[in-house]
Order: sequence, then C-alpha cells, then structure tokens
Amino acid sequence: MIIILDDTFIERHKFNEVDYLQQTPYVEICTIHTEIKTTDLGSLVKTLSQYSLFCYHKTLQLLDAQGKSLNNENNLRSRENLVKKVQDLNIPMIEFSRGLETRFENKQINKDLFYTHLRVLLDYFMNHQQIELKTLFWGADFENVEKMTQVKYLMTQVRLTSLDSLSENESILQGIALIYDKDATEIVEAWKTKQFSTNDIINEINQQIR
Amino acid sequence: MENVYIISDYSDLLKQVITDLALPEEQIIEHESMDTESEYHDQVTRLFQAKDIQTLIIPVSIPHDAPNNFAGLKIALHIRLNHELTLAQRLIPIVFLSDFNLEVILKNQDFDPDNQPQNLLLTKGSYLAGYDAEEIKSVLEKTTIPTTEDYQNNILHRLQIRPKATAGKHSIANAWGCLKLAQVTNQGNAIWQDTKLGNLLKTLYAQYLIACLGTFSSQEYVDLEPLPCTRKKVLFIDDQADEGWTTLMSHIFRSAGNGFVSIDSGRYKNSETGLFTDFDGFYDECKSHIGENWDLIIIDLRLNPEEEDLGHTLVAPPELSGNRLIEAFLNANKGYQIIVSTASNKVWNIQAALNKGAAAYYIKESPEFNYALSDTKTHYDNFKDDIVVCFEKSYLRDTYKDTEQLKAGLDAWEYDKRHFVEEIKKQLDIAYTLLYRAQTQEQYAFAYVALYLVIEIINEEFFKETSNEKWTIDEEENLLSWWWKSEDRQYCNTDKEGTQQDYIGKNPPEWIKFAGLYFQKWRKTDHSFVRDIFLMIQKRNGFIHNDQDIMNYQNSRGEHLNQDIFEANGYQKLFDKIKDIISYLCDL
Repeated sequence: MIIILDDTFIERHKFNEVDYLQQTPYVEICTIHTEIKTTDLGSLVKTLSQYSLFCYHKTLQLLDAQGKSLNNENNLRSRENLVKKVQDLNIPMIEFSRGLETRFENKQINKDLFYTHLRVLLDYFMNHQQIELKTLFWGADFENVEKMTQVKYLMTQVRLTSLDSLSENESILQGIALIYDKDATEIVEAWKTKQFSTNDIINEINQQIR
Repeated sequence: MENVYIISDYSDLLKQVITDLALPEEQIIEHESMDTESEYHDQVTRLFQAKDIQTLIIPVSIPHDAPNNFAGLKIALHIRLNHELTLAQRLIPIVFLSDFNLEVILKNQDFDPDNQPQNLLLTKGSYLAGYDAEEIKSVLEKTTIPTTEDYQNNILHRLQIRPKATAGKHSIANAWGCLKLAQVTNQGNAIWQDTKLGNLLKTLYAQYLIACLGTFSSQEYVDLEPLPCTRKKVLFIDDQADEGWTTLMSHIFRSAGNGFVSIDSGRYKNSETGLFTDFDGFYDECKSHIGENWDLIIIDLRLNPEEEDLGHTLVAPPELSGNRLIEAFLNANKGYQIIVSTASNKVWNIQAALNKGAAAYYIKESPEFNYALSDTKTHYDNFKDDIVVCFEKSYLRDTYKDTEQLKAGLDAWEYDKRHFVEEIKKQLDIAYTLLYRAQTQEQYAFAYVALYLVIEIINEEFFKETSNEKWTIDEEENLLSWWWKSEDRQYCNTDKEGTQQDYIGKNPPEWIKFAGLYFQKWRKTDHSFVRDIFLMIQKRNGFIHNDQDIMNYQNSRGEHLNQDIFEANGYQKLFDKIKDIISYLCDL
C-alpha cells in the first residue's frame, strides 16, 4: 500500500491524468490525503505500518481542528514530527515538491515527475507485489537507466583496475555478463589477447551497448 | 592548465583523473547538489564571481556513484544562460566527461523533456572526453572560445528549452512583466530578491528567454518624476497582486500612503501552485469596494486565468472577469476613473475594456514583445500620464453621485407633471455625459451649456405669456420687472418712484424669469444667488454668441471671470447652483 500526503492535489488534474487514482484497482492500493488536520495525525500514524511507501509534499500545509491553515512554525513542527515517525518505522519515504530537483539518492523528486510516473510505480507494485522506487524516478524506462548505471559502474571499474586484474574483479565480470551473451571471463581473455588498452575496452563496451 | 577548473565529487575515478592531470587543489570545485534551478543559478553566479574560470571540466553524470544522470549538463546550461555572467564567462569552453560516447548518450530516453540538456553537447564550445587524462589533455589543446555570433547561432538556437507545465509560460511572463516595470521604477533589486519572482526568473526557461532576447538589459532607470498622488485613493485589483504587482504598484503610488489599496489575491490562492482556491471570494472582495471614493481604480483584464486563459476556454472579451468588474464599478458610479491592465496585446481585448468605460490601459510586458528598455520607459511614462489625467478627472465620481442624488430627489418629489421631472433628469444626464466625454475646451463649454438648459426647462414650466405681453408665474402672479441696482447691490422691481412694475414684453431674459421664480414664487432673499445665476447665464450667452467682450471680461484684479466655461471648474460651479435650484423646486 502507498500513502500520499498532498495538500495541492486538488489542482493536479489540470496538469496530469489522475482520475485513475479514484478508480479500482488503484484506489485499493494507493491512499491520498489532501486535507490533514492535526487532530487526524494520531490516527494516521497508527495506520502507517500498513504502508510500503510514504510519499509527501515537501511543503505540506497542515490544518488545525477547525480546518484553518497552521502558522508556519506549528506547521513545520507538526510536519517534521510526522516525518520522524515514518523514519522511525523504517518506511521508505519520498519527498516531492514543485521546482524540486530530482535526486534518486536523496529520494526527492520533482512533483510533476512524481505524478507523471506514479502510475508506473503502482502498476509495478500490483504486478510484482513490491515497491520499485526507480519506476517513480525513471518511469517505464527504469530498467534501461538501471542498465546504464551498471554499465557506467563497469566502465568506472575498468578505469580503476589494471588489465591483469580485470578477471579478478567480480563487479567487472557482472557488468560484462549484463551486456554480453558470452562468458564474462572469455570476454576478458579476449581483451587481453587483443592487447586492448583501457580506452579500447571502453570503446568496445560502447559499441556493445549502442 | 592555468585557469582550467574541474567539478569533482571526489569519487575514486575523478580523483584519479585530477591526479593524472596534475590539477592543483584550488582548481577543483567541489560538486554540491542543489534543490532548485534558482539555487543552481546562484551557485554558478557565485562560482564565477570567485574564480577566473576560463575552461571547465564537468562530468556528465554527477555524483558519479549515483544512478546515471545528466546533472553535469544542467550545471553547464546554467553557465551558458546565466545573464549575471559576462558573455565571455558564459562562452568558456566546457569539456564534459563521460565514458559513454555521444551516440550512446543521445540514445538515452531519460532527458528532461523541458530543458533538453543533451542538446548542449551539440553546440559550439562543448567537448566530450572519457575519463582518461591523455584524452582530456588532447581535447583541451583543441578547444576554442565561441564567438558572440556563435552564442546566438550555434548555441542558443540549438537549445530547445521549454517552460514547465506547472511553473511555466504564464508565471514567467508575469515575472518578466514585473521585472521590466521594476527596471524603470528603480525596483529591479526588489524583484530579484522576491523569493517567488526571483526564483522564477532564475529558472532555465526564463534565463533562456533573457539570453535569446537581445533587448534584455541589466540597466535600470531611476524615476526622477515620482507620481504625485498625495491624499489620493487608489484601488488595485489584480489576480497576480501577490506575485510582484502589489510591490511594484505600492512603490509607484507611494505618496498616496494608506490611500493605496491592493486586494490581496494571495489569500484566495494555493501558495504553491498560485491557482485560485476561492475565486468567488476574491471577486466578491473586489466588488465590496464598489461605492467608495476612489480617485483611480486599476483592474486587470483577466482575473481568472484558469478559466479565461490557461483553461483555453473561449471567453468573449466583454465577458472577461476584469471587464465584468469594470462594468460593475461603472454601473455604480459612471464617474470612476478606471485603467485596465493586461498582459494581452490583443487589441480587441483592450477595446472591449474601453467600450465598457475604462479610461486608459496599461499593457504588462511579456517576453514575446521583446521591447527595449527605452520602450519600457516610454510605456511607463505614458502610464503615469494616464494616471495624472484620471486624477484630474476624479471629480466626475462626485459629480455623478450628486447628479444621481438630484435625480433621486426629483423622483421623490410629489409633482404631478412627471414629463417636466423627466425632462430635467434627462437634461442632467445629457450634461453629465458631455462633461464625462469632454476633452477639449469647447467640449467643456458644451457640457456647461447643456447644464444651463436645466434652468430654461424650469423657467419654461412656470411661465406663461398673457394676452398683453405680461407673464404669469404658475398662472398666479405676474412676473415683475427685476433689475440690478448696483449701488444697493441688490435686485429691484420698482421704478424710480418706487412703484412695482410688471414685466411687459416678448421673451423675458431667462435670468429675469429665474429672478421671478426665486423672489416671487420661492420667496428667497439672497440677492447674490440671483446675481451669480445672472453671471452664469451671461457666460453661457457669451460663448453661444461668441461675444468676446463677455468672454474676455476681467475683474479689477485682472482675473478672467468667464474663461472657466472651458474647464470642468465652470461646470462644477453651475452644477452647485443647479443643486440649490432643484432643492428649492422640490421643497414646493
């Protein structure tokens, strides 16, 4: 289950197709809260453990018991307390906001991108029963990004490893296996036989993945 | 390798490259991830202010141990487009580091669709090298500095930067309009320091616009002739009042002090998206100010862009929210002076507002217009001129109110000859309309003459000629022969022997008829009042008959007493008398 806290969601339909979120099956796996009163926080926290992913608007505006916006200080404190509770429960968390730079390593994402890719995340969740955050950051192309990341790592290892030690570097062998159909050690031996330089290997890897 | 800098995340790979290139520590720039585009812009600005960078090496994907990304390209875009850098700084050669070759990079699907950073790799001044020191050195030897022509033709034209959907074209256009006006009112700093506007203007799309528009200048004009508006009441209505316009306008109208009022549109909007959460509440608050004593009202043409612009709904110009509000204000008081402001340069939109009764218009600049700063200054000066004219005409507000009160008084008067009452009311309307439209001296005189006709209408109602050329007032008593006895400074109706005389003759002058009404029917005793009416009628006659002796008449102090027929002032003085006359009439 995924939970989303977004006080600006009411306008989201003007920029993204989001009607599906109110329909089966998505409504059953994704809960969206748009108006959160401080009086609701207690019961919300009690339900957190059922969620596999917690997504929230970075500048979420909380409301008081009468439905009026909290002042800046109280809003910040209440929001931070809520986030801490999520962190204490070790629930994966995504922070989104308009104008926010997207950075996977920080689990922060531009709000437009979040809603653009949200359906991919939910579809993946339904099909695989697990959260794959990369779907949120890269959409349906996440596997290609993952592959490119691994190839980039492969190239980095090639640069940092002497030619004689290539076949002893497990990361290199795994990277080679990703892009070649042949046995990785055979590939390394072939490079040695051809007396490839590091740059030659890098060029060959580029040829292999183009 | 002097003045060659590298952005580093201190990963093993980059440390190796730096060591192999023998780059000193002071030429290494630590990579910092930024949260927003404006932070990138500011970081780049600070960097180039602190260091003399003449060539820069940037990894395409950074941090290196993060999933594959193009953050390095984004940093470089901020360099190429940052208007706060000199052109020379923007055009430094940039060597991008990537072990992926160009073909592999470009085949990637993951580029930001709005910023299209990959296009930078295809522009002049951008180079690609692997993480190999020898290769990097070889590339560095071949770099050349793009020329000014290259900047336009081989860099900017190849970049395809688009506005973001949610913080896009209209938001940036608004920020642009604010900035241009701020530049000619010495408020440029205020705009850049405004968090919301400043951040918008530092986005890549805004910077791209600024770079592409050759007319952009960082110059500023100082407004040496601030708008005189002491004790004036100005109402400012704009859905983007909270997005810079209140700041700008309150500065322009600063000498009005608390007399300047801006409706806080921010109260009714989502602070992050800038979209209305309660447009009806905003519109109602705007309307709640109808009826107050405004000297000037500035109304934005499209107050609800979600429905009237961004929503792509076709709304006929007269039905635009701003026009409906103009109509509401003018229905309450046709004397209100309204300037419509708009970001639209569509003449039919502006014409619709003028047809509704707006006195003038101000067009907010948009990047599409690409005006030079000198043109912006001209627009602003014209805007100020229009404001001054509106202030000069703000008396129309009270004149209209008084005219409507007079008409209401006439409606309440229990006089059975309603055609007479309607005729007076109609004539008051005609006179007011002529005054409202008057722009030349002659037109003011026409309004005066039209107002004077109220006296003739009243006279006509109460005077009848008898068979022996005498005149009766209300068929009850004869009109006496009134004349001005200057030594007594009052009117008389007797001959030298003191015998009361009836007026005998065709067509008594209107002033004599009026004197008869005043003294005989209404039993009033203020002779100076009748004297004033006489002089006012004489003024009218002088204009109609082109009697230069009357028109050029001066008192002992050399003051021209009759020239005010050519000004609003003359109308106002006559109007004050008409108000008294009608009050005497209705008191019957």
